[in-house]
Amino acid sequence: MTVPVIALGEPHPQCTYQYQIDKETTMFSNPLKQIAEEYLSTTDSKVRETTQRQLIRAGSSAIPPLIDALIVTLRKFNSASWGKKRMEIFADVMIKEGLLGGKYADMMKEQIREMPNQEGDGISFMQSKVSRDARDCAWQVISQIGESAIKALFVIVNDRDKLKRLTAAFALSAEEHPSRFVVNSIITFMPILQKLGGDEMGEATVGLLIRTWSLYGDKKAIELMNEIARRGNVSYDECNEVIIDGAITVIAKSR
Amino acid sequence: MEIDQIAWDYIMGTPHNQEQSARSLIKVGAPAIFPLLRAGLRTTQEFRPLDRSVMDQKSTDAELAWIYQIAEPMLKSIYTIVNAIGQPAYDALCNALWDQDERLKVLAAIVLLQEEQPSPRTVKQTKDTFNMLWENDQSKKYIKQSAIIFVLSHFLAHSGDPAHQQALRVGASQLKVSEEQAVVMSRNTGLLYLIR
Repeated sequence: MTVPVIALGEPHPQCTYQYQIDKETTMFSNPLKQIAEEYLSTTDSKVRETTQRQLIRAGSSAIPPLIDALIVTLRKFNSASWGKKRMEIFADVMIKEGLLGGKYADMMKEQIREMPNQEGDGISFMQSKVSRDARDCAWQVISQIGESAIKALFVIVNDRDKLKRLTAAFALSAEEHPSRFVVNSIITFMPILQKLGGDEMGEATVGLLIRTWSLYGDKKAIELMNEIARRGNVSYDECNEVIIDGAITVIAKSR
Repeated sequence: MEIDQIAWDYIMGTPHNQEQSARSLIKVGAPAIFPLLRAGLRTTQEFRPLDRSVMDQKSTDAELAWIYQIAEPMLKSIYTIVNAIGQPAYDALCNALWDQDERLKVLAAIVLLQEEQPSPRTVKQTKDTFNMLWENDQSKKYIKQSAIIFVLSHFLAHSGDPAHQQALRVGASQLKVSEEQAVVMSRNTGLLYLIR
């Protein structure tokens, strides 16, 4: 996570989610949550290292605050908070300063053109990237703590709060080579989760879990992924990306 | 690393890690079988089907998902090692049928049931165990609840024993299912015994 908040400055004053207020309120909340938020949003590698160590030392008790912090972070990265206009200005400066040129400048312009004009229109390339980066940082802590952290994560997957469920499943989606332990944990919850589908968050959660399960190579999971791809009228590979971007959008726009 | 840990890592790892652990376990040979069975039992305990009262969840849905998506891959993993080690591993499995832990006995019997072409030595040992269980343990609850007696009988039927083949035929027709389905039903009863 190197580009976002710092490079783009403060969010637009009209953005619906007020990053500054959120930052202030967390000053008085759970210290582990503060550490987790700092860990996920810092651009300073030393701070990241220190906060990561603190979270790992806290063990599985770091997982609930980490998931809360991931929700806050993804909301901050909501495309509408940055604004298409600001991205255009940012790109112009980069090109003028000679920091970005040739095909990369064209790629960036193309990506900005595809950015949503307002919240809810879709997901920008940048939002997708930085949200995935935050997720990967969260997963680094979880995977380094080990099986107890994965168990704690699945307690959240079974939480009453649908947003937390979804974000826990999103954190898990960072694992591109899931172990049988992860897969068995998913399968244990799957019959219940499938009953919870039917709304945006439930569907997104189930989609994420099936996607992670399919990466292990189980036939049943691959069948389910094919079904999701067919329903969404996308290819299998596209489906992998659509599921993740869909989850990012749902979390980021949640209130 | 302790063999118990290697066995757990083998069953719980990524496909890549599983390959590495499998090599270690095969190198260990027959002494790897009990740790593998213990890891299998731990799997059944760690990933039990969730409370059925949630969201009108039918217990059978959760149990079926558990049997086919969690227990079956675990059995397959254990069988892969047993098969790779060969006869000493089958001997160890037959020894496990005499263990004091009834769950371990049942799991060993279910692992054995996966073998389609058992050696005469394994068949002989299993038959001895079957006869002994039938004589001594018949009154014990687990013999009925776990269906171990059926599991061993089906194993002997697969190995070509006419009396057990006949028993399987009769049992299947009473249940109005195919012989194959009857074997699966007994195996599933045994698996569910492990989580109850």
